[in-house]
Order: sequence, then C-alpha cells, then structure tokens
Amino acid sequence: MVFWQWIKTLFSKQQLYMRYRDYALFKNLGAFDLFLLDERMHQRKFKKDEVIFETGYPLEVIYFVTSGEIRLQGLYYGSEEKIIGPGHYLGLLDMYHSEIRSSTAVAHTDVMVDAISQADLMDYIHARPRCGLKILHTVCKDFCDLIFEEAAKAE
Amino acid sequence: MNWAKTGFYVLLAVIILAALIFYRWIFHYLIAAWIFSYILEPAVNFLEHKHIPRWISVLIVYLTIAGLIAWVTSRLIPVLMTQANNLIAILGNNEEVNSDILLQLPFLKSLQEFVINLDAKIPGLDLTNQFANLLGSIKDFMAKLPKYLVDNYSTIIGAVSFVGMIPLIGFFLLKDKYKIQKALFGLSSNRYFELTIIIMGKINSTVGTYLRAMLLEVISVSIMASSALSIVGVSNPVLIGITAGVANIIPYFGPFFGGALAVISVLFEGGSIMAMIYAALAMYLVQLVDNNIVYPVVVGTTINMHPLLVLLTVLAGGWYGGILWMLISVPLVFLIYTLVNVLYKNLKEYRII
Repeated sequence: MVFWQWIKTLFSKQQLYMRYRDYALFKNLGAFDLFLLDERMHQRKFKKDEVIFETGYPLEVIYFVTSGEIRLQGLYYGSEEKIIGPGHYLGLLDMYHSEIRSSTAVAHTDVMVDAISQADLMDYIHARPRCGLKILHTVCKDFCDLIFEEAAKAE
Repeated sequence: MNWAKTGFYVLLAVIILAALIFYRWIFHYLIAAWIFSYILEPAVNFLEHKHIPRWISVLIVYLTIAGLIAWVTSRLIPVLMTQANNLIAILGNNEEVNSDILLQLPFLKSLQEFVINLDAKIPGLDLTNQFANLLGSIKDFMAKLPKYLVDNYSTIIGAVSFVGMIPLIGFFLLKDKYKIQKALFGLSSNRYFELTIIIMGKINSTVGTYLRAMLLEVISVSIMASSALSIVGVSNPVLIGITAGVANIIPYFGPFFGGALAVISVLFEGGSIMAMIYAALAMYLVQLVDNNIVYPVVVGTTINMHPLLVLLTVLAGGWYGGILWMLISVPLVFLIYTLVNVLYKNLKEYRII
C-alpha cells in the first residue's frame, strides 16, 4: 500500500513538470528532462504595473510567462508597446546580443512567470546536449520567424 | 503608517535575532558542511543526470568516498598500528614514563639521531640538550594524558561529533540543494530577485569551482612531489610531498616552502650538495608542471593578488589562527574581494546604490 502511494506520488509529480511543455522552447523535452529543468526554475508573481526589468539592467534571468500579460518597451519596438501573454519568453534573444537588457518589461495585468538564470540554463544545456539541441532548434526557428517578420514589415 | 505591517516586521526581526542566537553554535558546522557539499556536488549532479534519484546519487558518492578513504588508510594502518601499540604500552603502564620508552618510537629515535648528527656537524648548536628537554615535556604530557582525556571528554566528543555531523548535514545540503535554493530565492522581493540570482550564481561558481580546483591541485601536487622526491632518493617523500601539496594553497610562498622543506630534509639527513640540488630540481620540475599544465587546466585563473598583500594576509592569518588560517586566509580574502566586487558592480547596474 505504502509502495503504491509512493508510485502514485512519482506520477503526480511528473504532471507538475509537464506544464513546461506549454512553452515552445521545452515542448519536445521528456519527463525526466523537465524534472531537471524544474529544479532550476523559480516561480514569481508580479502585480499589475510592477516593473519586471528595465532597459540597461544586467541580463541574467530568462522569464517564461505562465499567466497574465506583460508590456514591453524598447529597442525592438520603437515608440510602440508590445503586449505578450502566456507561453512567451523574455530575455532569450537579448542573451545572444548583449549582456544588458534592451527593453523594459512591466506587468500589464497580474502576472505569473517561471524564471531561470542564464547560467543555470547553460549548465543544463551543457549537461544534457540532446535537450540543448531541441532548445536551440526552437530558438533558431524563433529567430527565423523574427527575421521574416521584419522583412515583411520592411516591404 | 501601517502599524500591523510594522509590527509584523518587528516580530520577524525579533524571531530572526532569537534564531541567530539559538543556532550560533552550529554555524561552523554549517559552513564546513557547505564546503563539503560544494566539493561533492559535481559528482552528485553527474549521477542525477544518469537518471539516478538525487538522494541515491548522494549515497553512492558517500559510499565511494568512504571506500576510497578505507583503502588509502588500510595501506597506512600497519605503520600506524606499530606506533599506536607503543603509545598504548606507555599509557597502559602506570609507572612513570621515561625517555627510553619514548625513544623506542621510530620517529623520535630517528629525530634524536639526526639532532646528534647535526650537533656534530655544526659546533655550538647544542640541539641535543634542547631535544632532551623536549622529550621531558613529552614525557610529562604523556603522564598527564589519561587525566587530560577524562577532563576534556566533552571537547573530544565535540570534535568527534563535528567530524561526524559534517557528512550528515552535507547529505541534506546536497540532496535538497535546489529546494534550499528555491526557498532562499523565494524570500527575496521582485526588486532584488535578479540581483539575488546573480550573487548566488557568483558564489556558486567562484566558491565551488575554487574549492574543487584547490582540492584537485593539492592532490596532484602531492602525488607529483612524492613521486619526484622518491625518484631522486629523498627519504619520507610522501610526507614531504603531501606537505608541499597542502602548502601550495598559499600563492607565491607555498611552492617555495615545499621546495625548502625537501632541501632542508636532505641537509638534515647529512646528504651531499648534489642530493640537495636534485631535491630542489625535482620540486622545481613539479612547480613547472603545476604552473603550466595543472593550474591553468584545473583552476583556470590565478589568484590575482599582489605578492606583498599575499605575504601580509598569510602573516595576519598566522597571527589570527595558526597554520590553518595561514592556509585559508589568502583564498578567503580573494573570495570575499570577488564577492564584494560583484555585489558593488550589480548594485550599481540595478541602480540600487
């Protein structure tokens, strides 16, 4: 009976990690990979209009929006603001460009995010290259989408 | 003013203060266990990534280390047993301990021979009398030892419990590393969350990497020095090699100390000038390999401190807490400097100061 309870706990815990598959970056990762990822993730809540980060801050944490909306202002968006919602991530593209934030993020509504430090994500990728390849594939895809989007705008 | 909020924070501060006072005796346990867990962490992480649950990974690492320690000590036990038997014979005898019994110990016997030899070579040194006085002091200490053990049993039990508790606390620090980290980050407000992550990351990378690198370097220099000294025929090569390896923790002066120890050892044994040159060359070769291959690969970056500052820090460490503090003072000052530097830089960048 106790053993059965223990097995049940293992599976119920797995369900907790599966929510990371809602993010495009991790949708192809296995249950064990997600468990290891969960060890490094931190859940944070921001109230409406609370600043998440500002332009010029050091770039260390990558945020994944779980619920709510975030308002972005900065280099990529010109004078406009961009609103992003659940499933989107912040800070990953900047990571390949500079060591400081190029935009300001403010909670548009009450927001819940998953956060992982750049160093932890890199450690994770180094330790699990197969996962790194899957993550890199998604990042490349997002970069391509961004380039074509910009090209379309320019035309 | 929100009185309820203020009242809560005051209560919280009082509780934290009370907890600090209550737990103040175990801080050194925590620090030692923390260092212990930092050194073992990569092995545990490696096993965890092989689909082994973290607590089992920790147990496997513990058992492996216990096995290694048992294997290494088993090779030294025959020698230690001989000396321990001599000691037990002395302690078990209620008659007054005399210097002849002490001189049955191989180490003291060889030391006496060496002192007599040195007195014969250097006139006016008169070390033989001083050695006799030293033996007298040892004799007095031996006679009082059983009483001392009984009188200080609490201190001895404390020391044993300290050594025993470190792996136990370390087990939980290793097993629940991520839970502890999440709890700590959870305490920080959104404003300081990223800053906390950066600081903790820097502590992890600097302290963890440095401790593991130093341990590897001590082991590699000890092995290299022991091998090199045994090749050139210096006696007690393992003892001198291990001492040189440990002394190597102190930048600039540590390696010199190791080399000097080897040369002085040959001198004390009445070795020839060529034997001393060989010993010095062997230690120089070890340093050459260490500085050009082991250190850059294992440690990566050197401790960038001015030699004068290193000397002053080692002296201050020696005055403060003896040999142990001489060894740890330089790395400690370097780590604190690095962390303060990171803290200042990031507080500026986050526009907090």
